Amino acid sequence: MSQPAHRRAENHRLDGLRHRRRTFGLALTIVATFGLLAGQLVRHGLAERPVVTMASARPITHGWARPDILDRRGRVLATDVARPSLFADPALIVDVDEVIAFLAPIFPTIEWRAMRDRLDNRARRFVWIARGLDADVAGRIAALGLPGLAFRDELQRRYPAGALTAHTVGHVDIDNDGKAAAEIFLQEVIGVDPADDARRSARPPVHLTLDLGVQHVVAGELSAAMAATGARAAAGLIMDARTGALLASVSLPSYDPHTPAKPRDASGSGAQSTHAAAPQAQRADGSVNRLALARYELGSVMKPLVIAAALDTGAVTPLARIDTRAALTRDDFTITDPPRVAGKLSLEDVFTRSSNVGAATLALNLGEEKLLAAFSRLGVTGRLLTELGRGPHARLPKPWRDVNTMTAGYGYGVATTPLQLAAATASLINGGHAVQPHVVRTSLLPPPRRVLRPETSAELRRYFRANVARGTGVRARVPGYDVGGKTGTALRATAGGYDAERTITSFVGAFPMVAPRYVTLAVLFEPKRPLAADATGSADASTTAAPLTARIVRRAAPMLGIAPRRQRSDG
Amino acid sequence: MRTLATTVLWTLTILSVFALYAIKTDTRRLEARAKQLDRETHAAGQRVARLRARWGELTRPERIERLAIEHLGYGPLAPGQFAALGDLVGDAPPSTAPKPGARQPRARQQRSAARGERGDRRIRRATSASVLPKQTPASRTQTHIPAAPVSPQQARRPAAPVRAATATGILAEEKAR
Repeated sequence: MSQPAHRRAENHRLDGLRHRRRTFGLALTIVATFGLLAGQLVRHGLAERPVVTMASARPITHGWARPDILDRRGRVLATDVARPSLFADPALIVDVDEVIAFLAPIFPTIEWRAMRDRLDNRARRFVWIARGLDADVAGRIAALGLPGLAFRDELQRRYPAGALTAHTVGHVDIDNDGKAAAEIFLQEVIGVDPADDARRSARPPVHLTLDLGVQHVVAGELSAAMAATGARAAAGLIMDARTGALLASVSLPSYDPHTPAKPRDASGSGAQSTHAAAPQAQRADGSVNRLALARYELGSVMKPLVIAAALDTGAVTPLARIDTRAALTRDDFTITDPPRVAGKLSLEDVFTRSSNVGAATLALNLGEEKLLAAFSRLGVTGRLLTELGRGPHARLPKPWRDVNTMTAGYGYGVATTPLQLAAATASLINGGHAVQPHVVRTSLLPPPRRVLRPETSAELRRYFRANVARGTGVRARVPGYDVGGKTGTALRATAGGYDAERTITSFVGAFPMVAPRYVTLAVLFEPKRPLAADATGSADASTTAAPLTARIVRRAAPMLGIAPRRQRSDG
Repeated sequence: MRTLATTVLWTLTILSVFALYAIKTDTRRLEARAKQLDRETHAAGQRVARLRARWGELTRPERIERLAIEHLGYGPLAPGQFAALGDLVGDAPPSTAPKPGARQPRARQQRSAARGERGDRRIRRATSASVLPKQTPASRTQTHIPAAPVSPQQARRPAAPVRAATATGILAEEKAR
């Protein structure tokens, strides 16, 4: 069986060859494997570490990190600040009675009986005790060293300007979720980030068109006027006549955005409403933005719109004369002008004497269809959406009869928001361009749209100016500032009629009238006394809202960079 | 030959183990440092946010207005407080008026005055009727001193008495709260 010698030698050589080949193969594999590992190590070392976040359990709370809100000059109106919140883990609490005994004096407002039930339930692992604490309070609690209590930093929204900008900036709930005005706009349009810890938003701040100084002036003057006239509420604005940017937007009473349930006066100077309202009614009061989110029949301030519509459609010419001496009757409803107003009036006289019969005649000449079309084009009968919120639909009488065309001529029957009226007035004086009121600077604005002929606008500017020079708005005059405007005194609509005791007085104006840059609006709700020192008797728009506008313009114009025009008569 | 290669490889292996260990430790240290820096950045950001909010509260227009009225005697700006630059040049005090025989001819002076009146659209606060002397910073601060309460020590330091007085007033008011 033995193999020949040469065969054995051959086999031996082949074995050696195979062995070397195996060894080489093995070595190659090992080198390749280590090479791969080394390569991977280098790759991992050089590559960015991927951020892997793993939620071991559902986050305890969902909050939102929101971008800051600044005014047009970069002053902070809203910002997120991290504050400690206290929570308990009932499973770790040794003695519930001890915890309550220590914490009750620090938090007297907590309902401790219900809290004890929650803390007694050992199956629960998380109970909020108090959120958004001051650092010193948190320090005091931490120093107690009670087991089962712990803190968690949360973002809390702060509003440095407080009630002054509350109706414009809005407020958030305990989870930093936007609940009003620009804060809702932030949530829905600009975007906020979910935050499970106290990390601030990396988004760029949101600039408003508001100027905090001008806002303060308007709020301060409105508040002072409320106190002086005994008005129940007030609203006012200053708006760029060309762009619709709001530099001030005030509705009083306002509220503290940190505690949205409690309304208070914006200026903090204690302009107490003399209206004897129940606390509940007062609470509802402060939460209403009367400027943008509530509709009213505003009265004669609507007349310029009717005159503009009549001029623009060619229903009358600037030279027309309207006889207002006779009474005007439609559907068993008769209106007359007082003797000092009545006469054969030019359009300017209808404007400056605020003739009801004159404006109603113009409206009837236009007819229902053209009047409503003009109102719609000027934006007073639609619904205005701004960053301040969704305005209500304007209210029109249903069914619309002839008498409604007549009364709409002098501002009754059609209920709209003061902001819509201001925007329409801006179109009247800015050459006839529609404006979209807005408070956020980055807002996408609709393309420019002409709603009136420039000649109509020029004519209206003349009327606005004449009205302050010698008409019902003479108390809005500010030496050097060339103010123009229109007064409006409206009886407040009640169920089934109008309340003669309760009025809304308003003044919508613009300055400087040569080339109007700013539209102003001041509205007082239910004033009882005149504001003007030289006025006696009734509190109508010419003695309340007109002098109020003068005060606002006198203080705000220098802030807006408008120096007074030097007039010889001003000295 | 083989022994030499083995020795070299072993040495390299041991060295790489040490190197790996060193790099690993270093990475951990750097990661910890990065985390700490991140925490510090976060904390600083929070502090800045708190301070900005506090600054916003302290510079509320109604508060500044009250302090300006109480401590500086200021009031709201009235239209009569505006002056064009042209008005001021004519009433310049003797110190800035050209000396007799100075080079600037009268006609040129009048031209510059007219230019000033046309060109100046900025808001300007006139301190008195129409006299606004061209002031050095020191003399400007001195005109303000009587309006604000200044302690004798501060009065001796004319560098920034207005700021000092304002800050003192504000701090005193904060303490009183």
